Amino acid sequence: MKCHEIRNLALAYLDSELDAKTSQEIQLHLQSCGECAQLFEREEKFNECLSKVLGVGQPTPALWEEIESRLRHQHRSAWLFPRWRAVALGSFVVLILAGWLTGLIGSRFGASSLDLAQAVVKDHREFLQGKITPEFKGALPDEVAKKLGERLDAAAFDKIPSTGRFRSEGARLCHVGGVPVAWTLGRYDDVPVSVIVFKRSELEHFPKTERRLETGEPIVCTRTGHFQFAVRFAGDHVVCAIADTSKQTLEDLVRSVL
Amino acid sequence: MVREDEQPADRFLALLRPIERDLEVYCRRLVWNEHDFRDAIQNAVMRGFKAFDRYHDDTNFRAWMFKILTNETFALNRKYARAAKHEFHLDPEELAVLPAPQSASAETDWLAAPGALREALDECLVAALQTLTDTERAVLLLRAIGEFRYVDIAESLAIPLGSVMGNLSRARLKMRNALQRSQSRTAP
Repeated sequence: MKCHEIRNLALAYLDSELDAKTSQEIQLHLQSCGECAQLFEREEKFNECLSKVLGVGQPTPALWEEIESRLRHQHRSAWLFPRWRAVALGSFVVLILAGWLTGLIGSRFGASSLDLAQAVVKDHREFLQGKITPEFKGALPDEVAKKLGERLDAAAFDKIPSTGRFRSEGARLCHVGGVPVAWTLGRYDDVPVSVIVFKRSELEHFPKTERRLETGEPIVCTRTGHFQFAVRFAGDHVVCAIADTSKQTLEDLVRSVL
Repeated sequence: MVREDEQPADRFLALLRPIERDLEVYCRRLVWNEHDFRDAIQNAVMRGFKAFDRYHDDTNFRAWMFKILTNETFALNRKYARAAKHEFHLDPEELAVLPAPQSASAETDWLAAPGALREALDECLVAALQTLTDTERAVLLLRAIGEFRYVDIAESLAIPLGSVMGNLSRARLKMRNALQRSQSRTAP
């Protein structure tokens, strides 16, 4: 692709919305074209700044208290309605919302660009390129255990997928966004997978991911470039995985971590 | 003890509370008349709650509420006859005509100093957002605040995927131009 073609795809590329092949083509182009690389860098910075500033703001407590109060009052009132009125009201609401709900149920909403996914993708790429290799295999060696401190426990290294299709190639102690993590490198069937585990108390360093998990979603998934990413709580730990595979596969893998 | 008749309300509120901030920030930016944001949020929450018995656990509550709120806000915006009449639909093959990033020389120095950008935005953010159509603004905000993917935004706004890209591209360009104009006016 030529420079002008690459630049026209800048937006979708930076939003991780392109297919793997096109992304790779752009990546290769950026490695060899300083001018495009500079433009992309500035575009990315602008988008980041704009998102940050647009997202600034605090909720108005009085508004939400009022809403909560109205909502509870309405619910109690509805409970006291005569049955026929409740049925009539219910039918009306159903008629009005039926169209919406038909489209909404089964909605494919959900995937989004998460801060934790963005933080691990670079290291996962380095794993694929052979720049990151396991420090040890099997039991946690004493010299690594000594480095853990209070922010990461040895149990994090025991949290690996229990499915027979996953084969560990070893693990290492890493830092993701300043957070110490147990990073297990392995393969699911033949696909390279990174499994990252850290203490749940460290999740505050990834507020977007924290918000999503706290809405009650059992597993949060997103795509970052051509990688699929999945994260969930596992007791006192957060377990996430990233690989070039399907969402279903990665969900199964993450779910198998006990 | 939780009363039985309060259980749906408690469950709904437990899902709502973590996203209250994002919903409010999104609505404040999306609504044309700043006095309407309270009505939009209240109407959306009430609608969401009324439909909550049909909500399934495998539905993404966050996305569901954002969609309801978007519809409510658009309805209020229409009162001001400033609905997105100028939206045009862009097919993926038309991507080639999208505006590309500007040359580095045309950039200002906010990129090196996000604090300066924030300050500039505080002053002219509302004015810059007013230059966008309803759809451009919704697409920009669903991406920036909601962090939804293009395909999800397309579903939420019932527009084609290519239109999401076109609107997002134009929205960012308009914001950039408005901010640059603002900065050149305030520059010594």
